Amino acid sequence: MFEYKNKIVFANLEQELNKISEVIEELEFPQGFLEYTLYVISEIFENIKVHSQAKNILIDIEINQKKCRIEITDNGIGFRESYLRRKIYPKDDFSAIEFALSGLSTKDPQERGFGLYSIRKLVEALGGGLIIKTGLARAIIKKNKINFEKILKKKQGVFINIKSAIKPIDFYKIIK
Amino acid sequence: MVAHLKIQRKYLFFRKDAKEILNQIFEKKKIPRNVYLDFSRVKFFSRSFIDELLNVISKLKEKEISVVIQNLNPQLRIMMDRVQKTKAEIQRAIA
Repeated sequence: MFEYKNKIVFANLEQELNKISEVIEELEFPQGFLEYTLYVISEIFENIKVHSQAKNILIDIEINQKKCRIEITDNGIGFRESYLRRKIYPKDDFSAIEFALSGLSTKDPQERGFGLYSIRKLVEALGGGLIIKTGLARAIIKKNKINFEKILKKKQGVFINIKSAIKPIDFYKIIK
Repeated sequence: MVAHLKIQRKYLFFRKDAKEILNQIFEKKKIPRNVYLDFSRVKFFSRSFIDELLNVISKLKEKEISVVIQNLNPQLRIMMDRVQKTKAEIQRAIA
């Protein structure tokens, strides 16, 4: 149905998202799924733009009749370093992932960032799974549970993998 | 003075997009007091975009410039209302 794999430079992120959106828009999805897809990709891209200081981004999207997989990797500073530079102090990479999933933003002390928080809610509503890797931590989120694992080789930047079935979703009800 | 801006893009994803829209207001020779943003062509915007747009609208309000969003599709209106509500809750919690 749709396969897309590309390594892009930071400066082309916006242009690439517009191209992906034009193609995804043509696909036939059940109600709410197009919005889900656009939301997930755009919020991850926004996070990369604002927080990552990445030079390159690897995008791997596969959508077939039944399943959707979105995998986005950046080579930036990672969650923890991003928080530390804004004087927010997660004790390790695991805490940094927890902070990000809770909506704690590095943008402004009076704001929250709902990107990953909302992505998690949407993925869970679809019965899907989310994997986040950054630094020495890997978080696997499935069936409303989060499992943390220590990884041996430090992951530069952030890796996000999202898998879900393609089915109707009440997108605008779930989004916060 | 009144300004009407028709948003030409179908998708609005980034915070930068919101800032760019409002920058157009200040490019005008005379800064308008009332701005109407026409969203009839917009099919989707992200939470980040609308969050930033609301931030900018709020700052403009302090400068006595009012911004009215027009022709927003009903689902995007729901998203905007939710984001607005959440922002108000956060502000209340901080206060």
